Amino acid sequence: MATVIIPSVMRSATGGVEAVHVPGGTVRAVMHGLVAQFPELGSKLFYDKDQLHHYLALFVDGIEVRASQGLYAQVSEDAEIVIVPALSGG
Amino acid sequence: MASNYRVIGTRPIRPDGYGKVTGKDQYGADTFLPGMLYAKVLRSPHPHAVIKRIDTSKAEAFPGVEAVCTGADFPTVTSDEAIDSGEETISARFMTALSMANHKVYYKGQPVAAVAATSPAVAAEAVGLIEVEYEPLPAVDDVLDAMKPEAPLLHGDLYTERLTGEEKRPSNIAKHIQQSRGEIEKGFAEAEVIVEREFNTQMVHQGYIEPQAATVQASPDGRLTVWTSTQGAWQIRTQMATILDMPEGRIRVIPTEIGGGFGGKFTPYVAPVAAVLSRKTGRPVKAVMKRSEVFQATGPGSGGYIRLKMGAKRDGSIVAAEAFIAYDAGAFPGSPVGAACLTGLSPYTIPHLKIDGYDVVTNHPRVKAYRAPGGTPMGMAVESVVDEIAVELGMDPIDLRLKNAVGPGDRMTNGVAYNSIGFKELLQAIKEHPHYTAPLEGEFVGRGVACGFWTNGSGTSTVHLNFNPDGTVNLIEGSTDIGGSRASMAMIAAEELGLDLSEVRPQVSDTESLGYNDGTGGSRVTYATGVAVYRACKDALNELKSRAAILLEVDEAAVTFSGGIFRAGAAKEIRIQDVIKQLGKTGGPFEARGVSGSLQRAPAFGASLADVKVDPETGKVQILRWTQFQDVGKAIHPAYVEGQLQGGAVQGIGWGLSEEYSFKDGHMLNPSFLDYRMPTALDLPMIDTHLVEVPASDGPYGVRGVGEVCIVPPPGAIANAIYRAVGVRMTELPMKPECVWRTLQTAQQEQVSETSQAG
Repeated sequence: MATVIIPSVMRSATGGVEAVHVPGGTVRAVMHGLVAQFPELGSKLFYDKDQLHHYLALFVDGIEVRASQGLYAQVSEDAEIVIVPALSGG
Repeated sequence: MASNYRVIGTRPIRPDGYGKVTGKDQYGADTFLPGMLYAKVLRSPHPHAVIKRIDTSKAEAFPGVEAVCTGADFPTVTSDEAIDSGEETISARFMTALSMANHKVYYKGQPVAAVAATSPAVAAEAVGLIEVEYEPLPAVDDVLDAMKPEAPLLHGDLYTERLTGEEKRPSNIAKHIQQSRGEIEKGFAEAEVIVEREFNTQMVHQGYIEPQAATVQASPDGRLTVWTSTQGAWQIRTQMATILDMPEGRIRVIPTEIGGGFGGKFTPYVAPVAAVLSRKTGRPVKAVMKRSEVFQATGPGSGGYIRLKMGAKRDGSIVAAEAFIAYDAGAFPGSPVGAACLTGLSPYTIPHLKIDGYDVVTNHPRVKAYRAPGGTPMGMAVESVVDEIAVELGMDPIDLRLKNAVGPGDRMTNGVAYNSIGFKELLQAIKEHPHYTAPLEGEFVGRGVACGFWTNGSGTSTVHLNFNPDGTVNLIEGSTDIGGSRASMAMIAAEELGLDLSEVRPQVSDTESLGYNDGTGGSRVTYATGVAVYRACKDALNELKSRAAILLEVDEAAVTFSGGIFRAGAAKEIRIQDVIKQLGKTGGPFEARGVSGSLQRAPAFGASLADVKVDPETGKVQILRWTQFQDVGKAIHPAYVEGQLQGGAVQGIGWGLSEEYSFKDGHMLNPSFLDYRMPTALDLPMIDTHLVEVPASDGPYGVRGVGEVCIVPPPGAIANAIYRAVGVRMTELPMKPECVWRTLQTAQQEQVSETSQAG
């Protein structure tokens, strides 16, 4: 299962949990699985089901995928996905 | 050490050098087309005002005027969609307002109307005939004032964006960014030394030599062709499509040579105006900005306010850091405060930290990226406080940094783990450098060191290779060459194909001749476009190998390639040039392609080591000696890498000592190079460089981008050197003579006061 690192400002939605293990073969599947576990995250991550908030970046094993495959990026079993808010502006 | 490479790491002459030194290259203002008209923009004299009425009738009647446009001629864009503007995104509606105001102006210099005429002189005279009635509004001139609840609002519909919830009241705070780790109170409770400082910095300009310029031809079928000087042709296309509400595929952007950009040439400030005027007239229209317009109506780098508190244990372990960062975005949201939040404290393994960053709008020009955008002011703050902790602890400043330096596997402040980085190797190199240990003698002299970090970008690049009958190769890339990248790309191709550098001709393409390319920014080109070149070469060699097999009359599996020669056993061989010459006989021409994307980051660390002399009578700071250090991964062309470090250091020195936008009530008081003081050769010693090569995790050769991080540490190094020279901590940029003198006077008065109280 992939490990999703939750940024500190979103941890109120995960009860303070920093790392969440979620199954899924794509970023989309993992992120939807994450929201299924913690519904409060939904509005913080997505405008709608398949559109991430523009102020979020996603790093899969150190590679920022939003600008390339986005939600359809492949995720390995032991991948680490880091949600990074507000990288724009630089 | 013997190099494994034949071309990589050498210092050849750049392939585009001849055009530059002979003055033959075509820059943005050098486009001339039959029947071309000249545009002149009328700009707001007010930093904040409502436009009550515009009367263009006199200008339209003026002889030689072919068209006039105002905001009414532009599509109404209300979307808040985030549009790619090169190194950052900008809301569609705000981006449109940079090209032409509609109903309201938010900064002095914002366009309110424009004229197209048969000559620049006619256009300039006619634009003065346009009558605009304004209702001036109070200007917001200071970032902290702008954050106050009672401050005049720039935008009645701007609400603070934050991840913890929506704001109900409009505000000048466009965004609030938070990063945290550990427990901040616990961290400071553990600290035995705590230093807290406030820093104020000003807007600065990139100071590129060439002003913005664009020529646009609207075709009868509605297509646009744009010739412009830009860091990103594809980004210009995207933005123009948004501003003009038309499909991107109907716009062709042809990049000209570029005379500098440093992050400031991603926005089409004048091209949309030229496009609207060209549509009205059916003729090509050229628009070129003057220097005063460049200062007042393009995007400078952010200034702002930083409050930073850091705590350490007696053994030198930094245990806590808390930062409040408010950056001036100018008229519309989009300061690089996010990068400031990320880059300032990420070099150190701090277990407890809390960072609050605020993107704040004011009635100043809307900022743009400037070389490691957001990094330099925050770098000044962090490196000054780290230096002060070293002094408090009686530690060598490099030893303190070594004790806390991040390495592979440690995490940045945003939680992303570092891959291969060379910060510790860089610090060790400084410690062992002769400059660091050289005696420094004389009165009022001091040596300071500061470090800097920049994430570096990657992004998408597309490269094509095609082949000439003389055995040479055309390398077609889409990355604007702003710092010698054509040379680096050609060197990679020459290395991989076994060709002489003179046999590879690199060219920068337009948006219809090549697949998508991200812009030249974020220190990404040598890294990401280099990967695309490398992959294109591998693609080429696959096909050329099959062609060589035909010419050698062997099975393809029997063919090997090295050093520019295809071989089949010991007896049969053919040079790659000869395979290329005979493509017509072996199946016809082909094109090789390489695309980069989804690369790991290749982060960069740099440092400045400065010796200064301070004149206590005047406060003037003289740079005596300077060495710039950087982990460059692998220097493809060391001379150009050194040049990047030197250029970054000089711009950082300017930011540190003399450059600033001087505002009064939203009016810039110094919009010329006479009054905006950039360093000249007379102000500087030789900038020495020292390259450290710790290979990056991804891509061939271990390349890292080198263009940006070098501007981050100079102000901090100067501030730390001033402290060691005269004993005062500088907390303002620029550290101009009056500022240093005032700080010295204040320190002396405090000393007198303390002495008299003690007595």
